[in-house]
Amino acid sequence: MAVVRVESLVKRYGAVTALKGVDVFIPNGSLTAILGPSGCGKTTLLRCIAGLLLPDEGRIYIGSQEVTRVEPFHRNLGMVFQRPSMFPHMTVYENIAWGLRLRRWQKHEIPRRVREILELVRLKGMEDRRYNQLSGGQAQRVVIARALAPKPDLLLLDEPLSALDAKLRAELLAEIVDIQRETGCTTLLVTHDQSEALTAADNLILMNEGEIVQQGAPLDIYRRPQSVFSANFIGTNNMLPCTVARLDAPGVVLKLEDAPLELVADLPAFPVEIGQPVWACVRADDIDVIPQETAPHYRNVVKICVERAALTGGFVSVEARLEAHPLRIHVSGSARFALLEQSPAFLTVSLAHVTLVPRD
Amino acid sequence: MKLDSLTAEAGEQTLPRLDWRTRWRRWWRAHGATALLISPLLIYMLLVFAVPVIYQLAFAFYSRQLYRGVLWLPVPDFTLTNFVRAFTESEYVDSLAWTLGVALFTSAVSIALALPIAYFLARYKAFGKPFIELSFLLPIFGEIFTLYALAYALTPSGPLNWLLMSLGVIREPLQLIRNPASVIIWMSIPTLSVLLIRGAIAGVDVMYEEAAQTMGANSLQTFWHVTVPLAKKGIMGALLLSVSGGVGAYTLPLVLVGPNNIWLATRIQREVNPFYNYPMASALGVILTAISAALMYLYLRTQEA
Amino acid sequence: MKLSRPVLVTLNIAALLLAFILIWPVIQMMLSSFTTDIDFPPRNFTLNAFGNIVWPSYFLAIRFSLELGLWTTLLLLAICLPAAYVLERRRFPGRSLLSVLIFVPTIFPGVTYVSAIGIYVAIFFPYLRGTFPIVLLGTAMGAIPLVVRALQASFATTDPVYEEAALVMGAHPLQAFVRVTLPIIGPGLITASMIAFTAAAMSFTPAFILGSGQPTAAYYIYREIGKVGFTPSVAVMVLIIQVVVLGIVQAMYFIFRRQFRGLFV
Repeated sequence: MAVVRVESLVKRYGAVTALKGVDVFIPNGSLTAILGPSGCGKTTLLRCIAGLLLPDEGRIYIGSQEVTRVEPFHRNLGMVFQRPSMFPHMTVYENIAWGLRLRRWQKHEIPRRVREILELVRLKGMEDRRYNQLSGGQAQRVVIARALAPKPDLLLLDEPLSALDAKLRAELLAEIVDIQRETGCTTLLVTHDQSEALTAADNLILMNEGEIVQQGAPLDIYRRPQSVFSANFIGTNNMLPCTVARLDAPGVVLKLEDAPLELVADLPAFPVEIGQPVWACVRADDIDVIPQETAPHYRNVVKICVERAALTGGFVSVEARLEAHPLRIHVSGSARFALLEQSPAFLTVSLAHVTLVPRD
Repeated sequence: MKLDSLTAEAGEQTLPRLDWRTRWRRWWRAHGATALLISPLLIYMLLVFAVPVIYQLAFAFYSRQLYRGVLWLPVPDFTLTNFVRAFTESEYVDSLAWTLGVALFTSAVSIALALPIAYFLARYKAFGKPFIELSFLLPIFGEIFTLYALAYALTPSGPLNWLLMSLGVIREPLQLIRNPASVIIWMSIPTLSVLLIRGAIAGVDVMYEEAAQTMGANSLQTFWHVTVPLAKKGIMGALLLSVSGGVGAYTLPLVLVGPNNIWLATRIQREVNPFYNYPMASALGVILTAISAALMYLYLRTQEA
Repeated sequence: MKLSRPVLVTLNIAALLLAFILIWPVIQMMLSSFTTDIDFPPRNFTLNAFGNIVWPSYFLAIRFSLELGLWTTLLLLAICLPAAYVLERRRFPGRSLLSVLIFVPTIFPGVTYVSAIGIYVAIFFPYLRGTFPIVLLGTAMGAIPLVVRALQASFATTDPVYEEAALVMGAHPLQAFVRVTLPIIGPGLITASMIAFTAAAMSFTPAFILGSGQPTAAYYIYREIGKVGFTPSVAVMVLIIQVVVLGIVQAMYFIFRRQFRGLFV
C-alpha cells in the first residue's frame, strides 16, 4: 500500500503526444478511477506507472521511491488487463503460486495464501482448473487474485471488465469494490465507462487529450464540472449560453442569450463579474416537470415546447426547445407520461443544480 | 501563440550535437537487446547466403585459367564473355529457351486444368474432400521421394503403360523414363495452384455470379466474365508461382530424365561438375536468379493491386 | 452459381481423378516394394526386395539424414526463435526492411544459391568441401524462411498481454519468455521444428550439390538408381526413409502435444 505521485509526465509516440505533462496524486488506500474517452492517454498513463512504457519526461513515485526508470518486475505491483491474461498453460493454483514464488514468498506460506486469496475472490475449490474450464468472469477473478496475492503496493486495473457481458460486469465491479475495501490496497482503475467510474471510485481523475481535466470525488465532479468537457462527458448535460446579469442575495442571476429569460444559480467556484459570458449547465436528470398552477411556488421556472418524447427504460427522454435552445430532459416519476409532443410544459430546476462553466 | 510554438519547435531541432559515444550509449540502451537477439540469424544469412551469392555475381564476370595444369581457377578480368556465350552458343540458348518455354507452357496448362476444379471445390461440398485436399499437399512434402515414386508409375511395365495398352491406345509400351515428355506431363498436373485459386474464388461473393445469371449469362459466360476477372489476383499469383517453380526445376528432370538433361538448373550444376567452369556456372546462376526475381516482382505487383 | 447435376458430377470425378493421379505414385511404389519385379498389375508378392538392400551402408545414410534433421532443427530454433520474437514483438528502426530481407532467399531457385555456396566453398575453403558443417549450413539455409514464418505466425497469434502480466508479476524478461511465452506458443514451436526436421531429413539438393562425403538417404537412393535403375529394393529404401521420417514427426507431435505443458512448469 502506498501513495502514488506522478509529476509532469510526458510520453510521445513519434509526432503524437499521448501525455502532455500529467500530474496525478493517488492517496493511500483509495480506489482511484481514471476516466476519459478512448485515446485520451489513460492507458498510456497506467502503463507508464506499471513500467511497461518508458515516459519521455517526468517522474513517477510509488511510496517514497522514485520508479520512473525501474523495470516493471522490480516494482511490486499487481495488474489486471483488459484482455484475458490468465496463463492458459497453468492451473488456477499455479497462476497464483507462481506470482508468489516470483515475489520470494516462503514455500510453506504459499498454499495458505493461495487458499486465502481464492476465498476472497470466491473461487474456492477451483484450484486445479485451467483457463478453458472457467467462464470469462471466473478467469478475470483469477487474474485479480493473482495480482492481489503477493500484497502489492498498488493494484492497476486496465479496463478489467470490458471483455465481459453487461450483467457480469456490474457483478464483478461490485466485487472489486468489496475486495478493495477489504484489502485496503491502493487501486487505480482505468475505464472509459462513466457509470463504472462513478460507482466504484472514491477518487476520480478525468482525462482528455493527454491532459488531466479535473480530479476529485466522483460526486463533486458530477455536480460541479469545471469545464465544458467535464460537463459534457459525464451524464447528459444541457449547456445554455448565458451572461451574468447581476449578483443577488442567494447567488448569480443569469440572462439566457437570445431570449428574455433569467435563471438563478449558486455562486460558482471561480470569480464572476457582471456581463461575463458563462455556460449554465443543467443535467437532464435534475430538471423537474411541474403543473402550471404550482409554478409560482418555484424559482427558475421556464416554459418549454416538447418536440419529442421517447420511453427509454425507466425514464422518458424528452427533446424540447427552450426559446431557440434545444433542451434534453429525463423525466421519471408520475409526471413522465403527462407530456405530450408538440405541446408546452413547465419546468423547474433548483439553484444548486445550475452549474456555471467559463465561456469565451 | 503561434510564433511561440514555432520557435519552440526550431529550438528542439537545433539541440546540441551529441558526441558518438553518448548517441551509441542511448542507442544501445534502446535497441541493444533487439540487436543481440536478431544478429545470429543475420550473421548466418550473411555468411551462408549473401556472401556466396555476391561472389556468384562477381564470378559471373570472371574468366578461368588452368592452374598448374590441374586446377581451373577463376580470374578476375571482368569480361562479359560468359553472358555473351550464354545468349549466343546454341547449347545454352536451347537450354534457356527450353526451360522457359516448358515452364510457361506447363503452367498455362496446369492453371487451365486447375480453374474448373478449384471453382468446384470452392463453391460445392465435394465427395471425398479430405482425400482431394490431402493429395494436393502430398507432392510438396518430401518432394524428391514423390519423384522417385512417380518414376515407378511411368516405367514401361508400369500402370500408365498398362492402362494405355489395355485401352488399345498404344501397342508397344512408351519409354517415359529418360524422356522429357514425362517431366512436361507431371509439371502440367496442377497441385498447389488448385488450392491457391480455390482460395481466390472463395473470396469472390456468390452474389456477383447470381447477378450475372439474372442478367441472362449462362454458367460458362458467368465464370469467364465475372468469376475469373474478380479472382484475377489469386489466379495470376498462382500462375506466376507456377512459372517460377518451373523455371527453377532441378530434381524433377534430374530424376525422370537423368543428369544430362537440357534444363537450365542442371546445366548450371554440370558447369561446376564435371567442367569446373565456375564463372560460366555463376553467369547461368545469375541469369536464372534474374528470371526468378523478375517473376517474383511481377507476383508481388499483382498481389498489391 | 447453380450448375446442373451432370456438370457437378463430372467436376467431382475430375477432382477425384486428379487426387488419384497425385497419390497413385506412392501406392505404386508400395506395391513395387512387395513384389519380385515392378510390373503392373502386381504379381508374385514377396519380401525379397528387403533382403536385396545393402543394409549397413543404407543405415548409415538414414542415420546421416536423421542427424542432419536433428542438427538443422536445433540450429534453426536457436537462431530463428529470438529473431522471430524480435521481428514480431519489438519496434525498432529497420524492422520492416529486415523482415523483407529474411524472405529474399525464397526468390532464389534452390539450385542457384546452393551451387553459389558450393563454388564459394570450393574456392576459399577447399579443405572443407563435403564436410558435415558445410552440408548442415547449406541444408539449414533453405528452411530459414519457412521456419521464421511459422514462428512469426505463432508469436503474432499470441497476445503479448501474457508477457506483460508476467513482467508486472515480477518475472525477469527471460523468465517470462521461458515460463510463459514458450509454453503458450508451444504448438507453433513444434510445427516449426517439424518443418525444419522434415526439410533437412528429406533433403537431396544441398547434399548432392555440396558433394557430401556421406550421402543423405535421398542422395543414396539417387546413386542406387544410377547403378541398378528402378528396382523393388530401391522402392523399399524410399518407403523406409519416408516411414522413418514421418514416424518421427508424428511421434514428436503426439509426445509434445500431450506433455508440452509439463515441460517447462
